[in-house]
Amino acid sequence: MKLPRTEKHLDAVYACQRCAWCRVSTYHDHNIEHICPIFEVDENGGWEYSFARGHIALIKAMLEGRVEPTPELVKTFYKCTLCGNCEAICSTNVAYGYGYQPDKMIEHVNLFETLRADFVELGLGPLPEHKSLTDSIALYDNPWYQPRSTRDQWTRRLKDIKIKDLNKEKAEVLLYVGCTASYDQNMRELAINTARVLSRAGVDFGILGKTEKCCGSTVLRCGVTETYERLAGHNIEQFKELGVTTVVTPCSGCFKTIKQDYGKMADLPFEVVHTTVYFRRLIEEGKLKFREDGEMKVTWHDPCHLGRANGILEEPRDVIRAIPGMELVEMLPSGEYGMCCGAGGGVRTAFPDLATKIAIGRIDKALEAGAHTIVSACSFCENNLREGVQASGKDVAIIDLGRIVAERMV
Amino acid sequence: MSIARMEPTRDHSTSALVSRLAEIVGASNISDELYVRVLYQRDQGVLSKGRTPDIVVRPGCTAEVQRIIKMASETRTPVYVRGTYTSPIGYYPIEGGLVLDMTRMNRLLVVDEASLTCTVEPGITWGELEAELYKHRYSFLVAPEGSLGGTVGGHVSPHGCSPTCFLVSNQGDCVTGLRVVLPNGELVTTGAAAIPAVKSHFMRYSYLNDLTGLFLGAEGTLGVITEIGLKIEAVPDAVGHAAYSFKSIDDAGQAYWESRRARIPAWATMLHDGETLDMVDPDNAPHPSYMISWARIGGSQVVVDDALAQLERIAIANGGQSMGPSVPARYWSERYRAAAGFMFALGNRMTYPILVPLGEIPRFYRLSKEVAGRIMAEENVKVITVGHSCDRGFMISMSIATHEQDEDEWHRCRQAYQRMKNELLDCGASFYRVGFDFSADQMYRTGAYYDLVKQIKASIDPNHIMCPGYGGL
Repeated sequence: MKLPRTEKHLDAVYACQRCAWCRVSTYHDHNIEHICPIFEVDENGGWEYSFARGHIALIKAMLEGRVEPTPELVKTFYKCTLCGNCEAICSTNVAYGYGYQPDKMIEHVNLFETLRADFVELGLGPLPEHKSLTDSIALYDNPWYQPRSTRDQWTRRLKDIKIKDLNKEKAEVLLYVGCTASYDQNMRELAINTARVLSRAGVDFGILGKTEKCCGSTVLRCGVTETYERLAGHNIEQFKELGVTTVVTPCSGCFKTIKQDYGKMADLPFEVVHTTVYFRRLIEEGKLKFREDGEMKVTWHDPCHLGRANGILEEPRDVIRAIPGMELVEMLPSGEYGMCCGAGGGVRTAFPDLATKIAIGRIDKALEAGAHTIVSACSFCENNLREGVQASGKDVAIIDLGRIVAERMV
Repeated sequence: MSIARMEPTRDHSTSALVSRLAEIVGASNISDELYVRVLYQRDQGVLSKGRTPDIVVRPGCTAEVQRIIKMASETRTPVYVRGTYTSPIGYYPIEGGLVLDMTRMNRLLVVDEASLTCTVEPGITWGELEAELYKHRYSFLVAPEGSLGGTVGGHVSPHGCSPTCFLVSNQGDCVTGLRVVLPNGELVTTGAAAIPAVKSHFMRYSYLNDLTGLFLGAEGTLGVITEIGLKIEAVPDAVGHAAYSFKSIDDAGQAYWESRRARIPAWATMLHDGETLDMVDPDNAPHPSYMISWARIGGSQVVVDDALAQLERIAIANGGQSMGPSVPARYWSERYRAAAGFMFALGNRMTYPILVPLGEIPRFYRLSKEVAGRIMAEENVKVITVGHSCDRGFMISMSIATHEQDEDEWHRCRQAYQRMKNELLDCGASFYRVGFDFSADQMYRTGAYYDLVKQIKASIDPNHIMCPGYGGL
């Protein structure tokens, strides 16, 4: 079986030492309880094909011609949130305990995304469950067959503040909202609150309005690279043409895609900043101040795209700590080995039950930590965690960090 | 003595076996799909390319294991038992058949404070067990380097050794009793709990022979371990760490031996030589000629302070220079990840560990380095060497770095490995595990011992279904 893109990662495939740290890796001292979210909740979990070591061995077997990709095999590769926890703990990537850093040998997320791209090329992927989503993005530049003309409807709730249209006038900052915050009624608060905060802090910002297109994250993760490359190419050119110098986004998925994945395609003449980082910057510059508004115990859910993939772990926590009355507690595992919400990599679309089970696991962890509020900053995570709350009936609120900042700023 | 052995025959088709096994464990816990089976063809070892089993089955309890083994015995189907396949030994289903994946049996059954033991199923990982025991402020005595991924069964079965063996010789010493499914499907309990009214594995040496010892080291050739009694100890109130550098292996070896004679209460120790460290971590070269780390010296604060002072006297008397506690403290913090990080820096590894008397570290370490140096020059391969004590013994692990995708290099490394092994054993070292390609070819050196092992195997497993080929059996 020819897997032309994956073949380029041969060294990574053979670098796997099969130590199985990507399987469970409970490590009491380091507050690591689990590694692979799917392995933990899948009723077929426990089989070798349900975590990274097995996936890499299967790739090797396919490249060596020992195994042909059957639909069942392909499905195992899509049953992965691409959270990168396996990559973070991988024994070939870190010389733990020896005070030196070897070259990173296996980039799991990149490897698995590349394989999915090969599957799509071969007509084996994405899964049928993904088709509606990926076709919609290809046709409408958003995942839900929504008209482009309604993309900026969220601004109607912000008549009191001025939001520039970058197609008509210049601004220092582009607020890139993303599809979910643009179209999903339940998630529009991400866009609205971010705009309110930027406005209050006196930031000169604008949006793309109806001309904003999907960042391409979903299609990239599903392996539909043709659509991704078209969107990414368009967006990069659009940002350049409009003279954008800073892109701020409240969505961790969009953030990772624009910052890291676009960065692989071209040199980006603009800075890409997640709102959590931008908020902290505004606080440090004295442009954002907060009032006392009662005490609130919260825990922070690290979105994989933000925390593990981009190392943004402390910034959101600093923002929470800067707000009077907020008590931050940690649910375990968090930080570098923080557990995925369950939505990533197309899992929520193709395996909604698994995604919800993983989300409920996070909700339970929040309750164990004594928090009834989970704060995050990612439209995918927040959506899925809310699904978990609904399914479990547990007494936990899922709140976007932007909302807390917007409600408590003066 | 020569033992006639019955060759396994296949008198049932695979699909018939699958149907019967599915009735035992449920359809979701058995597979004969190729894409599943190829994932069970070998462990971490790279000496062999492995072999794909015919069926993989995942039992969930002892009763299921009994039914599976009975069926395998009837059909003379080879059975290979595995945990998470994290050993570098080179374990694989050499004759195909069934792979029995024990990882579903992963429960901590009992923490028995009265006897300071716990009882576990074999598929629990050491990391999971540690986290569970810590809730009761207990820990186990010995843990393998691969604790994060490795299972208790996987380390107990070969009476495993690791840098955490300083006052204890190996994992086998920590086992207080077993439940084992024999090759005919019957269940045997070893140790005190052989009497059903005795509810815990509190005492290994009871009644007649030490049958626990019979199954430790057998690595699944005599049956399937489904329950393990393990010693536990209270987590110490205080811990300390120390590391010293030495100019010569004579000084380092003497200090190592004296620290054991003094019973310094260290949990883990390790000897590194500068040449190896320079190879693995060239950015920080040159490293000290020799370095010994004593990690997690535990007890009351008084005991720890006294041990550290005693260790200092021993090290300085042997020309040692303190390197402070940071290196072993870092090792302790990363105890289950450090060895992998060290080994994997150069690629895949073909590791051969030899055992020598603790007091003869200088002679054998020097010899090992000479052999390694010669082989590196003549075969154009990289060999790294590390050592750690195991009670009265000392294990020197020599690893040849290889890359599986480079066939020429892989064959060269294999040849170098055979040479290294033969030369070291010719000089009077003992070897640790046997495996398939590991040391099976060296068992002739043990004479009547090996003959007796074969007799025992033939007696307990007359249909020769349990791990055929392992250890040359």
